[in-house]
Amino acid sequence: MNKPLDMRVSFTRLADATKADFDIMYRHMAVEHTHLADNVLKHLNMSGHLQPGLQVTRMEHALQTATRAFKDGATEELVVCALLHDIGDELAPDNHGAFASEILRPFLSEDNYNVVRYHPEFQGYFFFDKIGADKNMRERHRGKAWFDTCHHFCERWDMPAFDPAYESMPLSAFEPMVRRLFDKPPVHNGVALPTK
Amino acid sequence: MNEKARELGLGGIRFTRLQDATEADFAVLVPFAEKAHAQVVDNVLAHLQLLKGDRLGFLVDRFDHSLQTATRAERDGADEQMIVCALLHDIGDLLAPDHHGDFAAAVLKPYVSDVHYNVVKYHPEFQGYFYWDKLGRNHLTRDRHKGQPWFDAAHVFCERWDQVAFDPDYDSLPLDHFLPMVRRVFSGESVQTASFKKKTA
Repeated sequence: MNKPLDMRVSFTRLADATKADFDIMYRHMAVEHTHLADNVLKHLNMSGHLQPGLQVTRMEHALQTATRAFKDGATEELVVCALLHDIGDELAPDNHGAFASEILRPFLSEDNYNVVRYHPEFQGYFFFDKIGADKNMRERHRGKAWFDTCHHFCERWDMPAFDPAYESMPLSAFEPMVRRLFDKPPVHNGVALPTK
Repeated sequence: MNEKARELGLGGIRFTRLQDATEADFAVLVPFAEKAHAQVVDNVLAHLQLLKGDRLGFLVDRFDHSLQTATRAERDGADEQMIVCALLHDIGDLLAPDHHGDFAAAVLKPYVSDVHYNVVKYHPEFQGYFYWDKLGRNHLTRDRHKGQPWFDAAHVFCERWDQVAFDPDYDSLPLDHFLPMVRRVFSGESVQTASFKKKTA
């Protein structure tokens, strides 16, 4: 008798997959979901040592943003968003808001999803004019329920988090928060996804 | 300024709040941003290879599935951007399994056309056409996109390349074959880099 995770599907074209095949796949997917927080933390660590010209490393910026959020009384969900907001710097630097928000999406409120997704435009309010871009690009979102939160996110937590003298909390302080968030039942387009 | 000093962040940057950064600071940061952009393609290729090994119950692992999808696209006469999209369409499986279409599309967006971007973004719904009915989900969910200029391309992508690419006996081309294509697609200047350059050129 094979152990459940030794079992393999029989199809070579998805169109031929049977209910029994999907039962096997879902068992694997449920296990894979339990690795998600580890995969995300590993990815955060991978390029965390890089210091692209700034006075702080990528990891220090992440920790500092999250620490500022935590000390400002942010919800745990937003603290994790603060920790992971720039996790796309390695694979999608120009689209890193969308990248991070899609990782977090199944576990976030829609408002916080949009905060992460559009934070680069709100951060731009503080510097786009100096690189020849429109600092008011974020205005297209004016009136959205999450506009003020996103402004607060950048003004109070993200934008000032380049300070080498700031005393950030260690990653170990945030890891349980990350795990709690990724342990939530995932939601896709408003529909709960099967996890077992 | 030598490279080591730059790596240590000693390029003269002294701001601690982005709001206080000057145009001179951004002139210092541009080479770092350009270097980071130049490394994206290697980072993406390294990430793709993390899909090796775990089969999740399938007869092929997800790296082989990626090569097989891309090979089928190429043999079917797909354009270069689409072949690269086929190679990378499941790259989100490790970090964003439930939104892996959106994830891969976010990675590819600066380098591909709107049609290619949407094909990648929505491929899970188009793939669902072939099996969601067996899971009690609406396999016609994709029909909300009917009339979009990329609808037929997304259907072809899934029907002919993606949903059939689980065959352990298929003779997929190796990753090396696709590397020049990936590098060409990712060498397209992305929007934000262009705006950095325009200002500081």
